[in-house]
Amino acid sequence: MRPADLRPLRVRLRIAQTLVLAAFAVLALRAAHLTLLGERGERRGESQLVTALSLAPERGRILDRNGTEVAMTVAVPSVYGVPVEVKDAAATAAELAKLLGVDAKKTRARLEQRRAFVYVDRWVDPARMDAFRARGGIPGIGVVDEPRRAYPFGPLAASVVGFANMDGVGVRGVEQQENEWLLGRPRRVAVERDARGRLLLGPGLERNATAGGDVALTLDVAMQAEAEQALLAGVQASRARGGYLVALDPKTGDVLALAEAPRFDPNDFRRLAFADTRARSFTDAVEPGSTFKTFLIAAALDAGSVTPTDVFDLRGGLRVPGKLIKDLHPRPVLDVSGILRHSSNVGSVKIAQRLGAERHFDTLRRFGFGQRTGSGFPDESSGLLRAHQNWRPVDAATVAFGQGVSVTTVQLAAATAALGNQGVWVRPRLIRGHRRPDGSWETAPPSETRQAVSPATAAKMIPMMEGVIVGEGGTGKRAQLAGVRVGGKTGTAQKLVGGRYAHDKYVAWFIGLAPLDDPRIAIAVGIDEPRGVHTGGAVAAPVFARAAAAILTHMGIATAPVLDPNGQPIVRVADASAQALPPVAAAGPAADAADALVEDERRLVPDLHGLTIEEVKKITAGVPVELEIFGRGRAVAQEPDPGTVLAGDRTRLRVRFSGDGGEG
Amino acid sequence: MARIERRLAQHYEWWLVGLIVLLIGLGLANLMSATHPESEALVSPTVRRQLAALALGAIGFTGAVAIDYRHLERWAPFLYAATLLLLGVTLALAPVTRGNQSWLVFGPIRLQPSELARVGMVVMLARWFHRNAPGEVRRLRDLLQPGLIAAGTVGLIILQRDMGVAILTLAVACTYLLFVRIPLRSWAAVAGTAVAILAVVWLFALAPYQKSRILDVVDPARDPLASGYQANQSRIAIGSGGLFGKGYMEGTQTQLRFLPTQHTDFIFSVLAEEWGMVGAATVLTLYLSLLIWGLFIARGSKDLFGSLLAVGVVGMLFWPAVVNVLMVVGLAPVIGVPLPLFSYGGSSLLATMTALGLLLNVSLRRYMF
Repeated sequence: MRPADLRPLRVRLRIAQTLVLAAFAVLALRAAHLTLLGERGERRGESQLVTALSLAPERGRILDRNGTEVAMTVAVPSVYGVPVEVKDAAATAAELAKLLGVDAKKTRARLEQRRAFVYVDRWVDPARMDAFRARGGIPGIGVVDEPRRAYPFGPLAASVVGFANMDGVGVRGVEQQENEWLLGRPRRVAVERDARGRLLLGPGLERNATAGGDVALTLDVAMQAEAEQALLAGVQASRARGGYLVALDPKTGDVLALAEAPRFDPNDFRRLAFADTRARSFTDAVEPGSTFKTFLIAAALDAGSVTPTDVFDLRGGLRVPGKLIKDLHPRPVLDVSGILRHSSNVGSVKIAQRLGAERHFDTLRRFGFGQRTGSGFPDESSGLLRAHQNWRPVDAATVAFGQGVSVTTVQLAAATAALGNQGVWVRPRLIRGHRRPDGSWETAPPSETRQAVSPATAAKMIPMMEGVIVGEGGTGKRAQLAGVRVGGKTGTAQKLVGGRYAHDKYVAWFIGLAPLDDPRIAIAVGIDEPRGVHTGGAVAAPVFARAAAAILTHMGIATAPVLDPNGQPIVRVADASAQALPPVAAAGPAADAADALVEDERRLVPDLHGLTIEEVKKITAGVPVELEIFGRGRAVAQEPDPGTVLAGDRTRLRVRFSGDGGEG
Repeated sequence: MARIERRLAQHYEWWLVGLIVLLIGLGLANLMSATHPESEALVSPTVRRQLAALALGAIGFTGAVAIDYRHLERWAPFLYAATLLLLGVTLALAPVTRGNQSWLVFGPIRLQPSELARVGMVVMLARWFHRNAPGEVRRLRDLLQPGLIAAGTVGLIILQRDMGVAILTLAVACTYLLFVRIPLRSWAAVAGTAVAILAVVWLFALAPYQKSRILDVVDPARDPLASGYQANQSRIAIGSGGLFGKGYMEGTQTQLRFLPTQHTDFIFSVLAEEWGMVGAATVLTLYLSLLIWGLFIARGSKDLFGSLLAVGVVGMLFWPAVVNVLMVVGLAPVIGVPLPLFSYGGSSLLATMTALGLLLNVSLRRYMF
């Protein structure tokens, strides 16, 4: 090879070196421009990175009055996409549709959006999540844990507790009422986030610092469960459309149990019609029927218009302008107690006429009718009670027996409670206290009170209401409790359908107080559209009895219904050996029950309510029954019901125990 | 191996090897940081695969040094034919992945023959220009044969729909135009024809996304979330690095994965963000040194084939490096071009290291006459 060949080449190569140098100089200048002069890049990087974020704090829990969690927040995975990183939206969407069961078309559309972040599927089902994780990474698709509200008791107290929507905002019940407290104060903080929108919390930022507070309800989940069982059983037995039950502590206004049927599971709120998740006891105003006579008579006594023993002549009914008032089972004469006991419409109207519309109205207002209770519960109805100036004579008459007015179950329970609290109406409350994020409790202030009627009037009402239960011809016999004095009033309201009273649609009511010596609970029960027998005494009173017995037992007052829902006595030894029911504590329930078990080959199921596991075992020892024990504490429910005859192969006896045992 | 004699070893250019090793080392360290977000481990699966490719590259490098490059001139047609065959087989067999068909998959090994093709093409072109002294090429029609050599390679790559690599391969082939003596007016005619062809291509052949990427260079903000996303994020990353950078594995834009292809085509922005202007300039300087050194080797070679081979190798390094960095700093459209020795990609690493082996080969044998 001759060197001469290479000389021109070398010149060119020198040129090439210069060109390379120049090219790199351009690169270096551009890089310098970006890094040193182009502060724009840096600032943009920052703004992209640091977001002034409204940090969603962890939502507080909802507890029952004893601290049991009824609503809490758990982390549930959601699948999201970063569209710019998805290589093939169609294929990815198809794959996701297969794995997660999402709609392929919609998912594809989402993945083709020009956005930094899109949800593919929120709150993914655990089984599907496993399949998704087993598949391994899909480019541009990721998983993020999101807080989800969980309601461990499912449908229990669902309408009271309510629920929070996907964004963690309470939209029903206490979740809505206490939303701000549960939410805490979202803090605006500068946080870093990455391209996938994940938060990168700096070391100084503690999530809990902004956590929401807890809320303690006045409800007791055990009492609530009993009340719901009682109501559901009653609704089922009467093949009713639904029902409502509110149990209050008359002295504090605490709502101890609030049962409604039909129930729903708030964990499934996404599949429920919103209207079906309302708390009917607060939102639905219904005619109170004859239960309203209680408050008429209280008003009349309070005004001094009548005394309990005043006698009224009821013969021939009563004509008011536009209406002839009659009784279903007419009686010639009744005193005021009798009018309440027999639920006489004619007598009630006569009392109302003696009382006068204005005083009647004023007292009803003091009992809380026609206005919201002020419990703070969302969407609470005020019911309907027209001002007395607007009452026509027929209105004055019908209001006396609960027509032409409407009330909520909570109003009715609160008014009943006032009679058991020396005439003092206490505003019902659902919230017992708040717990701050730091753990300290803030007890809810005592509820507002109002003297509805004088203590003397309330005292006179007590025996009259007891008469409804145990008196001759009383309509509320099925509300009797063993060893506990009960007072109450039945009611049967025709439902208004299209402005007219329907012949076949009723609401069966019962309001009651127990024990009368020192009322611990006031309960209002409404059964919506029972079929067949539809009176409050037949349909609602047994529900009261069962719920009241269970709740009182939880309070340490062991008792049980005396009559079964059909009005038949529940067989127990005490009935056979003694005329009067001895108080449970004095009689020694264990002894009573033991004798009841075997009676000439028939095995009668004893009433085990209030007994300890030991006592129940002692009773059933040596008797051929299969005993199944659930829970611990004292017996609160049993199956079959007391008094059932066990024969043939029906030998299983299930007993549920609950609460603090307190054996001793 | 016996061919590497003691005499050779004395001239062994340790500095050049040191420079290459330094670049490879920096590339690996940078790749570790870029892939850090994908796994907690220091050595991510991506880095592990890159290390495997590096081992393969070391074999290619050693092989390319061991043989006497002058034998290559004889083997060039076979090498070139093998290259075309490989490209053809890939085209026939490769499944459609990511919109192009440039991958050949044998079990766990995924080869991108288009990256390797440049080596075969350069050797063939070096042979041609050796046999037809470049100074004698005075008319356009004299370029017909080398043009066909380049067209065969580039055409097959275009058929694989790997536009970035095709353009790059064409650029490497054009490196040899530096030495021809074709008058300027001929070039003017070529330029005119080229503009006309480009216009036709723009109107009829380019996919919308390709047009978008080109328009993004003119106006980066026109669509920051879609087609301009990578380029924009890249500029932000580089800009946010400042003079000294944010520190190794501390680059927020990188570690937070704002850059989707940060470990491949946009690796340079990772470097610039974490090491700042100083780091970027250092790496650019190292690159520049290697290229200038390569051209010195071309100038120092005693025979024309060696010179041409060295120039080809320099071209194989220069074009991807420049195009890649231009793309990353937002001065060129986003075409998928890896940064040699830095971007993740086994085929690119293997090809680059083999080419560097050839360069060293030429350098070693310049006193062997």
